[in-house]
Amino acid sequence: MADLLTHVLVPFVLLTPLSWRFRWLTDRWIVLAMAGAAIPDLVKVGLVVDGRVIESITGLPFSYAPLATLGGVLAVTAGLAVLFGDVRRRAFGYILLGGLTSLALDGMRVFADGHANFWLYPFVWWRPPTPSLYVTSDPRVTAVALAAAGLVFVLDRSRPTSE
Amino acid sequence: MAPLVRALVVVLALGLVFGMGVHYDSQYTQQWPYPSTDAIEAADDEHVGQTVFVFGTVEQVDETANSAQILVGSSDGTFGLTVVGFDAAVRPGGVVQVVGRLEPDATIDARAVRVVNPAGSSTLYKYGVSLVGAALVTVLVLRHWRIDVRTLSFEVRRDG
Repeated sequence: MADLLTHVLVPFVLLTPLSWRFRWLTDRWIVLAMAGAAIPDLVKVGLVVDGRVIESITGLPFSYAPLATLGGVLAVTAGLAVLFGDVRRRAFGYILLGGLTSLALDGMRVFADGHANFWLYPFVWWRPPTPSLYVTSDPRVTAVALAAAGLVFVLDRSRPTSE
Repeated sequence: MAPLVRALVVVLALGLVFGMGVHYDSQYTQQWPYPSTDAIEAADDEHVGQTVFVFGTVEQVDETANSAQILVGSSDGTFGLTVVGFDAAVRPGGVVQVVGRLEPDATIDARAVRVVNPAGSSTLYKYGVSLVGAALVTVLVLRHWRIDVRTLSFEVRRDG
């Protein structure tokens, strides 16, 4: 998957220009989409607590991989959105949007056989084709994301109507 | 929504994630279209001639022979494989994906080798940048939302 910084910058780059057109799209919602974009990166919990530790405790097979799938993003989004009280439906939408941008981005990374991972799990066990555009450790991906975010940030701050 | 209901939904979501983790892992080997690394390690001769797809950490590259030794993860730890037809620019410690035909003596005749991490330091870079991303998003969320521990919820910061 792309690095977490790239993941969280993508919703910022996509939504901030839209906020220039739609006044209801304020920064507080954009940051929720950015937070949602971090959900697939929760698989990195496995670096702290290995899946085999969970297996030895529960006696069940276990993988963190579903966190980086559509099902995992939906479940975590639902769990987070209820923490937003009366605005939970709106929060759900933005968090989910962020998670989906990350899944879409990860679906374009390199796989030697031309097919991505099972990121549509649990709805279908299918590996969609990937254009194999990048690898996670490629600093050019982060550089492009940072440059785009920097440009959007400057344009946003230079607007007379910005908050 | 009452805090208790909210907490229940969170617990349910966590349970769902755990359930998917169990289901995914128990089904993965059947769904993955290639022999698993466990199967390759346990009885590689059984899968000789079949196409395999593995992720491996490069131990040694022999550029003149176009081959490399890689370490592949399995349930029991790691085991070594030799990759012939290895044409990727990668240093020991780097990570590659290899698709190819499994040959006798734990050897893969590579059809495609793609570099995931060109060196061991790439992993450090990846996690370092991700830590920056985690810090950035945490700060931004807390700048616009505050945690109300009493109601177990996020509230809009009026000054955010």
